[in-house]
Amino acid sequence: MSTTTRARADAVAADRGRRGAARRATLRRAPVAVAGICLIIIGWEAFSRAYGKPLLFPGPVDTGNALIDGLTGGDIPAASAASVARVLTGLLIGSAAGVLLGLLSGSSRVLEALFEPFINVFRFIPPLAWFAPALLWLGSGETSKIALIVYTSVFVVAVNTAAGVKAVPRNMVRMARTYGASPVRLFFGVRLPASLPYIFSGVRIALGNAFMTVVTAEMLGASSGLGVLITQGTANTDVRGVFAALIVLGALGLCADRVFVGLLRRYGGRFSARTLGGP
Amino acid sequence: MNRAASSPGHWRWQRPALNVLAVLMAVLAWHGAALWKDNLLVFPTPLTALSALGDVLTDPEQRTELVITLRRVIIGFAMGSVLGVAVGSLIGGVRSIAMTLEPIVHFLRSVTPVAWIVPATIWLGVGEGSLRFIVVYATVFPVIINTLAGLSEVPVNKVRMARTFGASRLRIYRTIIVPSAVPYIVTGMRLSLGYSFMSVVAAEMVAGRDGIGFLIYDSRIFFDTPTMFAGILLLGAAGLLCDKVFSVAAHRGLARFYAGQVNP
Repeated sequence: MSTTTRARADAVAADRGRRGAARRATLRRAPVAVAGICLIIIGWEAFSRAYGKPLLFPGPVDTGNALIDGLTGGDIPAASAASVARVLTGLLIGSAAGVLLGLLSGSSRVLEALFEPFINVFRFIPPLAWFAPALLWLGSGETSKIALIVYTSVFVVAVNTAAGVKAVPRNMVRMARTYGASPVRLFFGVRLPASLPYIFSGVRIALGNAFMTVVTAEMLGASSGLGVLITQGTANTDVRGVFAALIVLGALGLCADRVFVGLLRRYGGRFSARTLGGP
Repeated sequence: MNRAASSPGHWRWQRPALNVLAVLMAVLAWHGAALWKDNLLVFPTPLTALSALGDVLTDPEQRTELVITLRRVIIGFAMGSVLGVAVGSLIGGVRSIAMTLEPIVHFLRSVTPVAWIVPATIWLGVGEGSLRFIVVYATVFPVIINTLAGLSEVPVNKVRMARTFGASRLRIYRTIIVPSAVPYIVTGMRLSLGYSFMSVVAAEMVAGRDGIGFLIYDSRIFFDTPTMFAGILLLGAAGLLCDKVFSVAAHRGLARFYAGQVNP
Protein backbone atom coordinates (compact mmCIF):
# COMPACT_ATOMS: atom_id res chain seq x y z
CA MET A 1 0.00 0.00 0.00
CA SER A 2 2.69 2.47 1.09
CA THR A 3 4.84 1.62 -1.93
CA THR A 4 1.98 2.32 -4.31
CA THR A 5 1.26 5.59 -2.50
CA ARG A 6 4.87 6.61 -2.75
CA ALA A 7 5.00 5.59 -6.40
CA ARG A 8 1.98 7.72 -7.06
CA ALA A 9 3.47 10.69 -5.17
CA ASP A 10 6.64 10.30 -7.25
CA ALA A 11 4.57 10.18 -10.40
CA VAL A 12 2.69 13.33 -9.39
CA ALA A 13 5.95 15.13 -8.59
CA ALA A 14 7.47 14.02 -11.89
CA ASP A 15 4.36 15.17 -13.68
CA ARG A 16 4.52 18.56 -11.98
CA GLY A 17 8.21 18.89 -12.84
CA ARG A 18 7.54 17.99 -16.44
CA ARG A 19 4.71 20.50 -16.60
CA GLY A 20 6.94 23.25 -15.18
CA ALA A 21 9.64 22.42 -17.71
CA ALA A 22 7.09 22.48 -20.48
CA ARG A 23 5.85 25.88 -19.35
CA ARG A 24 9.40 27.28 -19.29
CA ALA A 25 9.97 25.86 -22.78
CA THR A 26 6.74 27.51 -23.96
CA LEU A 27 7.83 30.86 -22.56
CA ARG A 28 11.20 30.56 -24.25
CA ARG A 29 9.57 29.88 -27.60
CA ALA A 30 6.85 32.55 -27.25
CA PRO A 31 8.78 35.18 -29.29
CA VAL A 32 9.07 32.68 -32.16
CA ALA A 33 5.33 32.11 -32.07
CA VAL A 34 4.52 35.83 -32.00
CA ALA A 35 6.94 36.45 -34.87
CA GLY A 36 5.36 33.62 -36.84
CA ILE A 37 1.83 34.93 -36.35
CA CYS A 38 2.98 38.46 -37.32
CA LEU A 39 4.56 36.99 -40.44
CA ILE A 40 1.32 35.25 -41.37
CA ILE A 41 -0.69 38.46 -40.87
CA ILE A 42 1.79 40.44 -42.99
CA GLY A 43 1.57 37.73 -45.65
CA TRP A 44 -2.22 37.97 -45.57
CA GLU A 45 -2.07 41.76 -46.00
CA ALA A 46 0.43 41.45 -48.85
CA PHE A 47 -1.69 38.80 -50.57
CA SER A 48 -4.81 40.94 -50.28
CA ARG A 49 -2.96 44.03 -51.61
CA ALA A 50 -1.73 41.95 -54.54
CA TYR A 51 -5.28 40.74 -55.18
CA GLY A 52 -6.28 44.38 -55.33
CA LYS A 53 -9.99 44.10 -54.49
CA PRO A 54 -10.40 44.90 -50.80
CA LEU A 55 -14.15 44.28 -50.98
CA LEU A 56 -13.66 40.72 -52.23
CA PHE A 57 -10.47 39.77 -50.40
CA PRO A 58 -9.94 42.14 -47.48
CA GLY A 59 -6.63 42.21 -45.67
CA PRO A 60 -6.20 42.26 -41.90
CA VAL A 61 -6.33 46.08 -41.79
CA ASP A 62 -9.68 46.29 -43.59
CA THR A 63 -11.05 43.38 -41.60
CA GLY A 64 -9.86 44.94 -38.36
CA ASN A 65 -11.53 48.24 -39.21
CA ALA A 66 -14.77 46.45 -40.11
CA LEU A 67 -14.55 44.51 -36.86
CA ILE A 68 -14.01 47.65 -34.76
CA ASP A 69 -16.82 49.49 -36.56
CA GLY A 70 -19.16 46.54 -36.08
CA LEU A 71 -18.24 46.14 -32.42
CA THR A 72 -18.48 49.82 -31.44
CA GLY A 73 -21.39 51.21 -33.41
CA GLY A 74 -22.60 48.34 -35.57
CA ASP A 75 -24.74 45.27 -35.19
CA ILE A 76 -22.15 42.72 -34.09
CA PRO A 77 -22.95 42.86 -30.32
CA ALA A 78 -26.69 42.44 -30.88
CA ALA A 79 -26.16 39.68 -33.45
CA SER A 80 -23.73 37.80 -31.19
CA ALA A 81 -26.12 38.11 -28.26
CA ALA A 82 -28.96 36.67 -30.34
CA SER A 83 -26.85 33.74 -31.56
CA VAL A 84 -25.38 32.99 -28.14
CA ALA A 85 -28.80 33.15 -26.49
CA ARG A 86 -30.10 30.58 -28.97
CA VAL A 87 -27.10 28.32 -28.49
CA LEU A 88 -27.30 28.48 -24.69
CA THR A 89 -31.05 27.87 -24.50
CA GLY A 90 -30.90 24.94 -26.89
CA LEU A 91 -27.78 23.51 -25.30
CA LEU A 92 -29.24 23.72 -21.80
CA ILE A 93 -32.45 21.90 -22.74
CA GLY A 94 -30.64 19.41 -24.98
CA SER A 95 -27.96 18.61 -22.42
CA ALA A 96 -30.50 18.13 -19.63
CA ALA A 97 -32.49 15.75 -21.82
CA GLY A 98 -29.30 14.03 -22.99
CA VAL A 99 -28.02 13.52 -19.44
CA LEU A 100 -31.36 12.06 -18.40
CA LEU A 101 -31.47 9.76 -21.42
CA GLY A 102 -27.86 8.73 -20.92
CA LEU A 103 -28.27 8.06 -17.20
CA LEU A 104 -31.33 5.93 -17.86
CA SER A 105 -29.74 3.93 -20.65
CA GLY A 106 -26.45 3.66 -18.81
CA SER A 107 -27.93 2.21 -15.66
CA SER A 108 -30.41 -0.29 -17.09
CA ARG A 109 -29.73 -2.77 -19.85
CA VAL A 110 -33.40 -3.04 -20.77
CA LEU A 111 -33.70 0.73 -21.26
CA GLU A 112 -30.39 0.74 -23.12
CA ALA A 113 -31.70 -1.88 -25.54
CA LEU A 114 -34.88 0.14 -26.00
CA PHE A 115 -33.13 3.48 -26.65
CA GLU A 116 -30.17 2.13 -28.61
CA PRO A 117 -31.74 1.93 -32.11
CA PHE A 118 -32.96 5.53 -31.95
CA ILE A 119 -29.76 6.99 -30.57
CA ASN A 120 -27.76 5.12 -33.23
CA VAL A 121 -29.92 6.29 -36.12
CA PHE A 122 -30.61 9.88 -35.04
CA ARG A 123 -26.92 10.39 -34.28
CA PHE A 124 -26.21 10.02 -37.99
CA ILE A 125 -28.96 12.32 -39.26
CA PRO A 126 -27.42 15.81 -39.64
CA PRO A 127 -29.40 18.30 -37.55
CA LEU A 128 -29.97 20.60 -40.50
CA ALA A 129 -31.81 17.86 -42.38
CA TRP A 130 -34.61 18.54 -39.87
CA PHE A 131 -34.66 22.23 -40.69
CA ALA A 132 -37.33 21.98 -43.41
CA PRO A 133 -39.79 19.91 -41.33
CA ALA A 134 -39.05 22.11 -38.31
CA LEU A 135 -40.04 25.16 -40.36
CA LEU A 136 -43.34 23.50 -41.24
CA TRP A 137 -44.11 22.33 -37.72
CA LEU A 138 -42.72 25.11 -35.54
CA GLY A 139 -42.70 28.12 -37.85
CA SER A 140 -39.76 30.24 -38.87
CA GLY A 141 -39.28 31.90 -35.47
CA GLU A 142 -37.10 31.07 -32.49
CA THR A 143 -38.73 27.74 -31.64
CA SER A 144 -37.57 25.89 -34.73
CA LYS A 145 -33.97 27.07 -34.28
CA ILE A 146 -33.87 26.15 -30.62
CA ALA A 147 -35.44 22.77 -31.40
CA LEU A 148 -32.64 22.11 -33.90
CA ILE A 149 -29.99 22.93 -31.29
CA VAL A 150 -31.72 20.68 -28.77
CA TYR A 151 -31.63 17.92 -31.37
CA THR A 152 -27.92 18.59 -32.06
CA SER A 153 -26.94 18.28 -28.43
CA VAL A 154 -29.20 15.60 -27.01
CA PHE A 155 -27.70 12.50 -28.67
CA VAL A 156 -24.05 13.43 -28.24
CA VAL A 157 -24.62 14.12 -24.55
CA ALA A 158 -26.70 10.95 -24.14
CA VAL A 159 -24.04 8.71 -25.72
CA ASN A 160 -21.29 10.23 -23.58
CA THR A 161 -23.32 10.11 -20.38
CA ALA A 162 -24.15 6.45 -20.94
CA ALA A 163 -20.47 5.69 -21.53
CA GLY A 164 -19.64 7.55 -18.33
CA VAL A 165 -22.17 5.71 -16.22
CA LYS A 166 -20.87 2.39 -17.51
CA ALA A 167 -17.27 3.36 -16.77
CA VAL A 168 -17.91 4.06 -13.08
CA PRO A 169 -15.26 2.08 -11.17
CA ARG A 170 -17.02 -1.05 -9.94
CA ASN A 171 -15.14 -1.08 -6.66
CA MET A 172 -16.43 2.37 -5.77
CA VAL A 173 -19.98 1.16 -6.25
CA ARG A 174 -19.22 -1.94 -4.18
CA MET A 175 -17.70 0.11 -1.41
CA ALA A 176 -20.64 2.50 -1.27
CA ARG A 177 -23.00 -0.50 -1.09
CA THR A 178 -20.90 -2.11 1.64
CA TYR A 179 -21.19 1.03 3.72
CA GLY A 180 -24.95 0.88 3.28
CA ALA A 181 -25.58 3.63 0.75
CA SER A 182 -29.13 3.68 -0.54
CA PRO A 183 -29.67 3.43 -4.32
CA VAL A 184 -30.53 7.15 -4.41
CA ARG A 185 -27.39 8.06 -2.50
CA LEU A 186 -25.37 5.68 -4.68
CA PHE A 187 -26.67 7.48 -7.73
CA PHE A 188 -26.10 11.05 -6.56
CA GLY A 189 -22.97 10.32 -4.55
CA VAL A 190 -21.12 7.92 -6.85
CA ARG A 191 -22.53 7.32 -10.29
CA LEU A 192 -23.41 10.89 -11.26
CA PRO A 193 -20.14 12.52 -10.06
CA ALA A 194 -18.09 9.75 -11.65
CA SER A 195 -19.73 10.29 -15.01
CA LEU A 196 -19.33 14.10 -14.89
CA PRO A 197 -16.13 14.15 -16.99
CA TYR A 198 -17.90 12.20 -19.73
CA ILE A 199 -20.96 14.45 -19.54
CA PHE A 200 -18.78 17.56 -19.80
CA SER A 201 -16.92 16.26 -22.83
CA GLY A 202 -20.24 15.38 -24.47
CA VAL A 203 -21.56 18.90 -23.84
CA ARG A 204 -18.31 20.30 -25.22
CA ILE A 205 -18.79 18.48 -28.53
CA ALA A 206 -22.46 19.50 -28.56
CA LEU A 207 -21.42 23.14 -28.07
CA GLY A 208 -19.33 23.13 -31.23
CA ASN A 209 -22.12 21.46 -33.20
CA ALA A 210 -24.66 23.91 -31.80
CA PHE A 211 -22.70 26.87 -33.17
CA MET A 212 -22.60 25.21 -36.56
CA THR A 213 -26.33 24.53 -36.53
CA VAL A 214 -27.35 27.96 -35.34
CA VAL A 215 -25.25 29.83 -37.90
CA THR A 216 -26.64 27.76 -40.77
CA ALA A 217 -30.21 28.14 -39.53
CA GLU A 218 -29.69 31.90 -39.24
CA MET A 219 -28.24 32.05 -42.73
CA LEU A 220 -31.37 30.36 -44.04
CA GLY A 221 -33.58 32.95 -42.41
CA ALA A 222 -33.70 34.80 -39.09
CA SER A 223 -34.38 38.26 -37.75
CA SER A 224 -30.93 38.65 -36.19
CA GLY A 225 -27.78 36.71 -35.49
CA LEU A 226 -24.26 36.22 -36.80
CA GLY A 227 -25.56 34.06 -39.65
CA VAL A 228 -27.68 37.02 -40.78
CA LEU A 229 -24.61 39.28 -40.78
CA ILE A 230 -22.83 36.77 -43.00
CA THR A 231 -25.66 36.58 -45.54
CA GLN A 232 -25.90 40.38 -45.54
CA GLY A 233 -22.27 40.41 -46.62
CA THR A 234 -23.18 38.30 -49.67
CA ALA A 235 -26.02 40.62 -50.59
CA ASN A 236 -23.68 43.63 -50.49
CA THR A 237 -20.69 41.65 -51.87
CA ASP A 238 -18.74 43.08 -48.95
CA VAL A 239 -16.47 40.40 -47.54
CA ARG A 240 -15.05 42.75 -44.88
CA GLY A 241 -18.19 42.43 -42.79
CA VAL A 242 -18.24 38.67 -43.38
CA PHE A 243 -14.64 38.36 -42.21
CA ALA A 244 -15.45 40.41 -39.10
CA ALA A 245 -18.39 38.08 -38.38
CA LEU A 246 -16.17 35.03 -38.97
CA ILE A 247 -13.62 36.38 -36.49
CA VAL A 248 -16.35 36.98 -33.90
CA LEU A 249 -17.64 33.44 -34.51
CA GLY A 250 -14.20 31.94 -34.07
CA ALA A 251 -13.56 33.99 -30.93
CA LEU A 252 -16.91 33.05 -29.41
CA GLY A 253 -16.44 29.37 -30.22
CA LEU A 254 -12.92 29.37 -28.85
CA CYS A 255 -13.92 31.16 -25.63
CA ALA A 256 -16.85 28.82 -25.07
CA ASP A 257 -14.58 25.84 -25.63
CA ARG A 258 -11.93 27.17 -23.22
CA VAL A 259 -14.60 27.74 -20.56
CA PHE A 260 -15.58 24.12 -20.95
CA VAL A 261 -12.04 22.83 -20.75
CA GLY A 262 -11.66 24.91 -17.60
CA LEU A 263 -14.80 23.42 -16.09
CA LEU A 264 -13.59 19.95 -17.04
CA ARG A 265 -10.22 20.50 -15.34
CA ARG A 266 -11.78 22.09 -12.28
CA TYR A 267 -14.68 19.73 -11.60
CA GLY A 268 -14.19 16.78 -13.89
CA GLY A 269 -10.83 15.42 -12.79
CA ARG A 270 -11.80 15.02 -9.14
CA PHE A 271 -13.84 11.93 -9.80
CA SER A 272 -12.19 10.49 -12.87
CA ALA A 273 -10.92 6.95 -12.79
CA ARG A 274 -7.31 8.02 -13.29
CA THR A 275 -7.09 10.20 -10.18
CA LEU A 276 -8.67 7.44 -8.13
CA GLY A 277 -6.21 4.86 -9.33
CA GLY A 278 -8.21 2.95 -11.90
CA PRO A 279 -11.34 0.85 -11.67
CA MET B 1 -30.81 -6.30 -14.64
CA ASN B 2 -29.05 -8.56 -12.19
CA ARG B 3 -30.69 -11.69 -13.53
CA ALA B 4 -29.76 -10.73 -17.03
CA ALA B 5 -26.20 -10.08 -15.93
CA SER B 6 -25.93 -13.52 -14.39
CA SER B 7 -27.04 -15.23 -17.61
CA PRO B 8 -25.35 -13.67 -20.62
CA GLY B 9 -26.71 -16.36 -22.96
CA HIS B 10 -30.21 -15.35 -22.01
CA TRP B 11 -29.35 -11.72 -22.77
CA ARG B 12 -28.02 -12.52 -26.23
CA TRP B 13 -31.46 -12.78 -27.82
CA GLN B 14 -33.19 -10.40 -25.41
CA ARG B 15 -31.25 -7.38 -26.58
CA PRO B 16 -32.06 -7.58 -30.31
CA ALA B 17 -35.65 -8.47 -29.35
CA LEU B 18 -35.89 -5.30 -27.28
CA ASN B 19 -34.32 -3.29 -30.13
CA VAL B 20 -36.94 -4.58 -32.55
CA LEU B 21 -39.71 -4.04 -30.02
CA ALA B 22 -38.66 -0.43 -29.48
CA VAL B 23 -38.57 0.29 -33.20
CA LEU B 24 -41.97 -1.36 -33.71
CA MET B 25 -43.49 0.65 -30.88
CA ALA B 26 -42.05 3.87 -32.27
CA VAL B 27 -43.33 3.17 -35.77
CA LEU B 28 -46.78 2.35 -34.38
CA ALA B 29 -46.76 5.52 -32.28
CA TRP B 30 -45.68 7.53 -35.34
CA HIS B 31 -48.48 6.00 -37.38
CA GLY B 32 -51.03 6.68 -34.66
CA ALA B 33 -49.88 10.26 -34.24
CA ALA B 34 -50.03 10.85 -37.99
CA LEU B 35 -53.56 9.44 -38.19
CA TRP B 36 -54.62 11.52 -35.20
CA LYS B 37 -53.08 14.67 -36.67
CA ASP B 38 -54.78 13.77 -39.95
CA ASN B 39 -52.74 16.12 -42.11
CA LEU B 40 -50.53 14.06 -44.39
CA LEU B 41 -48.97 17.15 -45.95
CA VAL B 42 -47.48 18.32 -42.69
CA PHE B 43 -47.03 15.03 -40.87
CA PRO B 44 -46.85 11.90 -43.03
CA THR B 45 -47.44 8.35 -41.82
CA PRO B 46 -44.54 5.88 -41.90
CA LEU B 47 -46.09 4.29 -44.99
CA THR B 48 -46.22 7.52 -47.01
CA ALA B 49 -42.65 8.30 -45.94
CA LEU B 50 -41.54 4.83 -47.06
CA SER B 51 -43.28 5.15 -50.42
CA ALA B 52 -41.64 8.58 -50.88
CA LEU B 53 -38.33 6.89 -50.06
CA GLY B 54 -39.09 4.30 -52.73
CA ASP B 55 -39.83 7.11 -55.21
CA VAL B 56 -36.57 8.87 -54.41
CA LEU B 57 -34.63 5.64 -54.86
CA THR B 58 -36.33 4.54 -58.10
CA ASP B 59 -36.69 7.88 -59.87
CA PRO B 60 -33.38 8.21 -61.73
CA GLU B 61 -33.35 11.98 -61.41
CA GLN B 62 -33.81 11.96 -57.65
CA ARG B 63 -31.45 9.03 -57.22
CA THR B 64 -28.66 11.17 -58.63
CA GLU B 65 -29.17 13.60 -55.72
CA LEU B 66 -27.96 10.88 -53.36
CA VAL B 67 -25.02 10.06 -55.63
CA ILE B 68 -24.09 13.75 -55.83
CA THR B 69 -24.17 14.20 -52.06
CA LEU B 70 -22.19 11.01 -51.46
CA ARG B 71 -19.60 12.04 -54.03
CA ARG B 72 -19.20 15.41 -52.30
CA VAL B 73 -18.81 13.71 -48.93
CA ILE B 74 -16.26 11.17 -50.15
CA ILE B 75 -14.12 13.58 -52.18
CA GLY B 76 -14.21 16.27 -49.50
CA PHE B 77 -13.50 13.74 -46.76
CA ALA B 78 -10.56 12.23 -48.66
CA MET B 79 -9.03 15.64 -49.47
CA GLY B 80 -9.61 16.92 -45.94
CA SER B 81 -8.08 13.80 -44.36
CA VAL B 82 -4.94 13.89 -46.51
CA LEU B 83 -4.51 17.60 -45.88
CA GLY B 84 -5.20 17.12 -42.17
CA VAL B 85 -2.60 14.38 -41.75
CA ALA B 86 -0.06 16.44 -43.73
CA VAL B 87 -0.62 19.64 -41.76
CA GLY B 88 -0.84 17.74 -38.48
CA SER B 89 2.47 15.96 -39.10
CA LEU B 90 4.12 19.22 -40.10
CA ILE B 91 2.89 21.00 -36.98
CA GLY B 92 3.64 18.04 -34.75
CA GLY B 93 7.06 17.44 -36.25
CA VAL B 94 8.50 20.95 -36.10
CA ARG B 95 8.24 22.77 -32.78
CA SER B 96 8.60 26.34 -34.05
CA ILE B 97 5.87 25.76 -36.66
CA ALA B 98 3.67 24.31 -33.93
CA MET B 99 3.97 27.44 -31.78
CA THR B 100 2.86 29.58 -34.73
CA LEU B 101 0.23 27.44 -36.33
CA GLU B 102 -1.42 25.81 -33.35
CA PRO B 103 -3.26 28.94 -32.15
CA ILE B 104 -4.36 29.65 -35.72
CA VAL B 105 -5.62 26.09 -36.15
CA HIS B 106 -7.60 26.30 -32.93
CA PHE B 107 -9.08 29.60 -33.98
CA LEU B 108 -10.06 28.46 -37.46
CA ARG B 109 -11.45 25.22 -36.03
CA SER B 110 -13.88 27.28 -33.95
CA VAL B 111 -15.27 29.07 -37.00
CA THR B 112 -18.31 27.24 -38.29
CA PRO B 113 -17.49 25.70 -41.70
CA VAL B 114 -20.75 26.80 -43.33
CA ALA B 115 -20.00 30.43 -42.51
CA TRP B 116 -17.20 30.23 -45.10
CA ILE B 117 -19.73 29.62 -47.85
CA VAL B 118 -19.93 33.35 -48.57
CA PRO B 119 -16.22 34.01 -49.18
CA ALA B 120 -15.98 30.58 -50.85
CA THR B 121 -18.69 31.39 -53.40
CA ILE B 122 -17.10 34.78 -54.07
CA TRP B 123 -13.67 33.26 -54.64
CA LEU B 124 -14.52 29.89 -56.17
CA GLY B 125 -17.86 30.67 -57.79
CA VAL B 126 -21.25 29.16 -57.14
CA GLY B 127 -21.23 25.39 -57.36
CA GLU B 128 -19.00 22.39 -56.78
CA GLY B 129 -15.81 24.21 -55.78
CA SER B 130 -17.28 26.16 -52.91
CA LEU B 131 -19.28 23.20 -51.61
CA ARG B 132 -16.13 21.09 -51.68
CA PHE B 133 -14.28 23.83 -49.83
CA ILE B 134 -16.85 23.66 -47.02
CA VAL B 135 -16.58 19.87 -46.68
CA VAL B 136 -12.78 19.97 -46.72
CA TYR B 137 -12.85 22.75 -44.13
CA ALA B 138 -15.15 20.72 -41.89
CA THR B 139 -13.04 17.56 -42.13
CA VAL B 140 -9.52 18.92 -41.92
CA PHE B 141 -9.48 20.19 -38.32
CA PRO B 142 -10.50 17.07 -36.41
CA VAL B 143 -7.84 15.17 -38.39
CA ILE B 144 -5.16 17.81 -37.66
CA ILE B 145 -5.98 17.87 -33.97
CA ASN B 146 -6.04 14.10 -33.63
CA THR B 147 -2.82 13.73 -35.62
CA LEU B 148 -1.22 16.19 -33.20
CA ALA B 149 -2.58 14.25 -30.22
CA GLY B 150 -1.26 11.01 -31.71
CA LEU B 151 2.19 12.46 -32.30
CA SER B 152 2.39 13.80 -28.75
CA GLU B 153 1.38 10.46 -27.21
CA VAL B 154 4.25 8.54 -28.78
CA PRO B 155 5.82 6.34 -26.07
CA VAL B 156 9.06 8.12 -25.18
CA ASN B 157 10.81 4.99 -23.99
CA LYS B 158 10.33 3.26 -27.32
CA VAL B 159 11.94 6.20 -29.10
CA ARG B 160 14.79 6.17 -26.58
CA MET B 161 15.28 2.46 -27.10
CA ALA B 162 15.35 2.81 -30.86
CA ARG B 163 17.87 5.64 -30.56
CA THR B 164 20.03 3.54 -28.22
CA PHE B 165 20.07 0.79 -30.81
CA GLY B 166 21.15 3.32 -33.40
CA ALA B 167 17.98 3.73 -35.48
CA SER B 168 17.99 6.68 -37.86
CA ARG B 169 15.45 9.49 -37.48
CA LEU B 170 13.60 8.30 -40.56
CA ARG B 171 13.46 4.77 -39.23
CA ILE B 172 12.17 5.96 -35.84
CA TYR B 173 9.54 7.99 -37.64
CA ARG B 174 8.48 5.09 -39.82
CA THR B 175 8.52 2.30 -37.27
CA ILE B 176 7.50 4.02 -34.02
CA ILE B 177 5.96 7.43 -34.47
CA VAL B 178 3.63 6.72 -37.38
CA PRO B 179 2.31 3.41 -36.04
CA SER B 180 1.50 4.88 -32.63
CA ALA B 181 -0.27 7.87 -34.18
CA VAL B 182 -2.42 5.81 -36.57
CA PRO B 183 -5.21 4.95 -34.10
CA TYR B 184 -5.58 8.64 -33.23
CA ILE B 185 -5.69 9.63 -36.89
CA VAL B 186 -8.34 7.00 -37.57
CA THR B 187 -10.45 8.36 -34.69
CA GLY B 188 -10.09 11.88 -36.07
CA MET B 189 -11.09 10.71 -39.54
CA ARG B 190 -14.15 8.97 -38.18
CA LEU B 191 -15.23 12.18 -36.45
CA SER B 192 -14.55 14.04 -39.68
CA LEU B 193 -16.76 11.70 -41.64
CA GLY B 194 -19.69 12.69 -39.43
CA TYR B 195 -18.81 16.37 -39.80
CA SER B 196 -18.59 16.03 -43.57
CA PHE B 197 -22.18 14.78 -43.66
CA MET B 198 -23.31 17.60 -41.38
CA SER B 199 -21.55 20.27 -43.39
CA VAL B 200 -22.49 18.97 -46.84
CA VAL B 201 -26.18 19.08 -45.94
CA ALA B 202 -25.84 22.59 -44.51
CA ALA B 203 -23.87 23.81 -47.52
CA GLU B 204 -26.34 22.30 -49.97
CA MET B 205 -29.19 24.01 -48.18
CA VAL B 206 -27.49 27.39 -48.13
CA ALA B 207 -25.78 27.45 -51.52
CA GLY B 208 -26.49 24.23 -53.40
CA ARG B 209 -28.53 23.53 -56.49
CA ASP B 210 -28.64 19.75 -56.03
CA GLY B 211 -27.95 16.99 -53.52
CA ILE B 212 -30.00 15.52 -50.68
CA GLY B 213 -29.74 18.64 -48.53
CA PHE B 214 -31.16 20.71 -51.38
CA LEU B 215 -33.86 18.08 -52.03
CA ILE B 216 -35.03 18.27 -48.41
CA TYR B 217 -34.95 22.05 -48.26
CA ASP B 218 -36.56 22.45 -51.67
CA SER B 219 -39.46 20.16 -50.70
CA ARG B 220 -40.68 22.76 -48.23
CA ILE B 221 -41.86 24.96 -51.11
CA PHE B 222 -44.31 22.25 -52.19
CA PHE B 223 -45.17 21.18 -48.63
CA ASP B 224 -43.79 17.79 -49.64
CA THR B 225 -43.11 16.43 -46.17
CA PRO B 226 -42.92 12.76 -47.27
CA THR B 227 -39.95 13.60 -49.53
CA MET B 228 -38.31 15.46 -46.66
CA PHE B 229 -38.68 12.37 -44.53
CA ALA B 230 -37.31 10.20 -47.33
CA GLY B 231 -34.26 12.48 -47.54
CA ILE B 232 -33.80 12.43 -43.78
CA LEU B 233 -34.01 8.62 -43.67
CA LEU B 234 -31.57 8.35 -46.58
CA LEU B 235 -29.07 10.65 -44.86
CA GLY B 236 -29.32 8.66 -41.64
CA ALA B 237 -28.84 5.36 -43.47
CA ALA B 238 -25.95 6.70 -45.57
CA GLY B 239 -24.23 8.20 -42.52
CA LEU B 240 -24.60 5.02 -40.50
CA LEU B 241 -23.39 2.84 -43.38
CA CYS B 242 -20.36 5.04 -44.15
CA ASP B 243 -19.40 5.10 -40.47
CA LYS B 244 -19.61 1.31 -40.16
CA VAL B 245 -17.75 0.70 -43.44
CA PHE B 246 -15.04 3.14 -42.44
CA SER B 247 -14.51 1.77 -38.95
CA VAL B 248 -14.52 -1.87 -40.07
CA ALA B 249 -12.20 -1.12 -43.00
CA ALA B 250 -9.85 0.92 -40.82
CA HIS B 251 -9.63 -1.72 -38.12
CA ARG B 252 -9.19 -4.56 -40.61
CA GLY B 253 -6.79 -2.75 -42.89
CA LEU B 254 -4.75 -1.19 -40.11
CA ALA B 255 -5.07 -4.09 -37.68
CA ARG B 256 -1.33 -4.23 -37.00
CA PHE B 257 -1.42 -0.72 -35.54
CA TYR B 258 -4.00 -1.81 -33.00
CA ALA B 259 -1.96 -4.76 -31.72
CA GLY B 260 -1.99 -5.12 -27.97
CA GLN B 261 -5.03 -2.90 -27.44
CA VAL B 262 -7.93 -4.43 -25.62
CA ASN B 263 -10.56 -2.23 -27.23
CA PRO B 264 -9.52 -1.08 -30.67
